[in-house]
Amino acid sequence: MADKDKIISDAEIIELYFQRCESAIRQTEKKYGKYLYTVAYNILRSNEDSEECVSDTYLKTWNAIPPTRPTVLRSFLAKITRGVALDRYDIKKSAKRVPEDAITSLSEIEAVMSDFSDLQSDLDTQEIGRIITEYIDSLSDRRTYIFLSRYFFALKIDEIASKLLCSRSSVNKELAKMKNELKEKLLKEGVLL
Amino acid sequence: MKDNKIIKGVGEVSEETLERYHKIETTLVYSKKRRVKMGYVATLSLSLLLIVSLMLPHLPFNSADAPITVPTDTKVTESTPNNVATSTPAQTIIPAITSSPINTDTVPPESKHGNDTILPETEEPVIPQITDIELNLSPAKQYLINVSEFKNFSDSIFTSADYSKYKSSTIGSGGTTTTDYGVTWTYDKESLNIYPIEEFESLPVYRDKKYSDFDDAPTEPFSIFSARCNYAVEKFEELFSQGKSQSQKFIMNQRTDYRFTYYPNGISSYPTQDDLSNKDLNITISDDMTDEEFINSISAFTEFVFEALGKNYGNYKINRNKHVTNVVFFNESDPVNYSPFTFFNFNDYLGISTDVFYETLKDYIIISFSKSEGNTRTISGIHYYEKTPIKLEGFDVVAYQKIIPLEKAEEILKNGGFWGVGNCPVCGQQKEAVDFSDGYDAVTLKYVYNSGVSHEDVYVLPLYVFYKHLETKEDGEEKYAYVYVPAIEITDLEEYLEKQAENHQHNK
Repeated sequence: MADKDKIISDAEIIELYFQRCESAIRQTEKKYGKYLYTVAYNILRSNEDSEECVSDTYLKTWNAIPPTRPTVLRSFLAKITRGVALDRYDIKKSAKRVPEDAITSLSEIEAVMSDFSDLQSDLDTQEIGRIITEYIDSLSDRRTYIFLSRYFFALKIDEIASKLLCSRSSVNKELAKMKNELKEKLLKEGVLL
Repeated sequence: MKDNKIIKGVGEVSEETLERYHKIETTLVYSKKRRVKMGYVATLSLSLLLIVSLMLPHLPFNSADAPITVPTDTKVTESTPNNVATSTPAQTIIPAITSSPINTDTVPPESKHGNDTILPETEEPVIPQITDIELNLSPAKQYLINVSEFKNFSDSIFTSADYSKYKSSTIGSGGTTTTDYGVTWTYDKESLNIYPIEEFESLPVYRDKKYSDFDDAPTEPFSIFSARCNYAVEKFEELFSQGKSQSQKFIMNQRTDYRFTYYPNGISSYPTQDDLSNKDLNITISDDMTDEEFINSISAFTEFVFEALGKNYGNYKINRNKHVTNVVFFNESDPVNYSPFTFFNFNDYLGISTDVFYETLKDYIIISFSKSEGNTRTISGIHYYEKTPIKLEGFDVVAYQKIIPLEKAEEILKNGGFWGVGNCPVCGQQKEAVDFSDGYDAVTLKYVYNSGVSHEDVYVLPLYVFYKHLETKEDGEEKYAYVYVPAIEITDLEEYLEKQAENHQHNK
């Protein structure tokens, strides 16, 4: 394998960002481009929008590192991509560009999460993120996979069921249970009124 | 979505937790797939054992006379999850099995142990769910009309099954009454009319292009901007490119470098505070400012952006929000529809107001300011969009198919032969059934494609969309339910309708 085709480590990529070396973006694309595209595509279901999301991710990453030094580059990138994709999702939805059934996955999430509509409005999303992280860390591997597949990566129920070789209803049941547990935790933490 | 802090909160989960997810995916998901493979192997082994066991009495030798030893390099008994082979009475014929293509090298270590966290699963079959993207091809009307002049359409090549890959044929239990409909809101019923129904003889079927089809993607996309740029751009350096998007660096003779991401119809930039400071463009605005004060305070920056892009705009709209404030610049000549004020913000980067239907704007710039300290905000993003009137470059016409006339489509609708949107069962239960037997309130033509496969050949098929009015909000926004009927002839329409009728009968 030629050097230019070599996939370098995350630490090396991060170092390239710190050196303000533009090959950092090329290396990021080479290593995580397809992955990030998938993250965006799961939410947007549009090739063009997903490509643009990934491009935005690179630029935002370029602007974020330094000073930020990601602990896990892949997850750091995925979070940015997800944020950008959700932005576009909202734009498309609000502008009525995307009909309801084209965004089933996130619409379902909204429906599932409707119980949480009474959240205190001034709560910091990072604080909610901390509580959710705490909750996820208490879950079994299987449930963690289902939760994050659905609510972070916006995978369809079918996709999750297919990957776990189980039924849709099995995944739905798990999600319903976790939703209730999370609600209880949020109540306990004073997030929900 | 915009109000759901849980969804945003999930986005804030720690990187370590996400990494755990990926590790789980590797161990849990892939090991399960391997276990399925191993299940096949075990099943195959058992089948062979059974067959050979049954045949043994008839074989021309006695196994006791001809003892078969297990080769030392054979690991079949180890490779099966439950040591199936060793637990069977036919252990002596293992060499016969080893001649089957069992490759122990492919068996991962984890598959021997399984995963303790896997919960019991039901036997319920997996129901495929199709989710589609509808293409907003409204600007392509003229293109479609031109295409309709193409008379040489081919025989029908698509079937109901092809359409079912795109839309759900699982409809409600009442025949023409269904809960499997989509919902859309509009202030203007005419906006539902993406493609006016006209007297076409045929309609094109498109194919989504692959990345590899974009060899002719612009190699120097910023040339279109450099021609307008008042600041001499000495050269462009490509930062990266992906598909149709490219990011390049302006290297200017008077200013420091500036980075943009280029899309086929626009560019984005997320300048850092350092970038802005270097250009003396680091502006801070206050929430207390009036619109006029706000515009005046950012005039130096907007002048820079306008000059860089060779653009000027006669109108603007400021949108304020708790977290992000933005200003949309557009030309007065652009048709602008205002919707009631809504706003969403996202993370720390950017926020967009939706009180302008951006789709109606051909050319606009959005400059966003996100929360800084106290009641101050600093620039967080710049978006520039210039839309082309026809945007079908991502699709090839692969066939022309005979159209199903609207009258025929109406008949199909009234007979319950329509396609739904593929609601999940729970979603369906939460919706009120809608009856399409007594007609509809609006109809249009739309193209859809199956987004299930990212870059494989994907056909883009035309459908009639029939809308039924459900309710009107106090502010005049109207809610419509919609279902689909194919717009081009399919080879098995009659059979499909009969099958649907049977399904309705069965579901009653």
